[in-house]
Amino acid sequence: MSEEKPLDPEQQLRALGKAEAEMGRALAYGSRLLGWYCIVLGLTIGALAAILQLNRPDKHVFGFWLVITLYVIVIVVQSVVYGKLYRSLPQGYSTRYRRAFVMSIVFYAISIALLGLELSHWALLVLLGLIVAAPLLITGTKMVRS
Amino acid sequence: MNSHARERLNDDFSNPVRLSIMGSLQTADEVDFKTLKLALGVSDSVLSRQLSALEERDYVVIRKGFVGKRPRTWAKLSATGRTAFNEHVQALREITGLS
Repeated sequence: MSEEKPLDPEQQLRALGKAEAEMGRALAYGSRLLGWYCIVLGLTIGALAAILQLNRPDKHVFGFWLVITLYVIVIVVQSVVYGKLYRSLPQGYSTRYRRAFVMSIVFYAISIALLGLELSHWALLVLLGLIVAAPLLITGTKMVRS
Repeated sequence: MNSHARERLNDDFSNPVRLSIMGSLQTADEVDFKTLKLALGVSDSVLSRQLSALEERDYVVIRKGFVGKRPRTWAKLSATGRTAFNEHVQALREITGLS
């Protein structure tokens, strides 16, 4: 690419189309990467919400802290791996991720408020986990497919 | 807008590399230096020089960080840059009859 020679308007539009096409390929990688990160993060938070119902801090102190410790380790590993692989992000994707993350955290907080109900049926726990994970799962799936 | 489209062209974007940088960043929230370099097919020094020029004019925001021990640089359009570039592209389309 010539660095200094100015382009006429037609040439500029052609160059723009080419640059956007080249960047589109690079951004597809960023989209898939963030999508998978959302899916794994959603499943992790959903699993935590479900497992904590069986390991309430007032009844299973050891189990509770074990789950929390594993959760923190998994989140840190995911974030480090994502940080190493992260190269680019399509426009608007950071906002989409933040929205989905906040929604999943809100659902997670609601699931914590339900600890007193002592839910133990596996179907209810799976449903609870999926509801908590849903915003990140849906957003992540859309990102991977796009 | 009353002025002729040609008068609304932004000379800062007439340089081919700068134009391509702005066009590439327009489609992204953020792009790292290596990805941008590969997409544009330019050398490190050329990209670095043109990014710095765009940053000086407040069109681009540069973020430097580390991944492990390796330094990495990311670039994204500022609000000023996005607005200025959209106006430039709109003027290009009007001139070429594509708007």
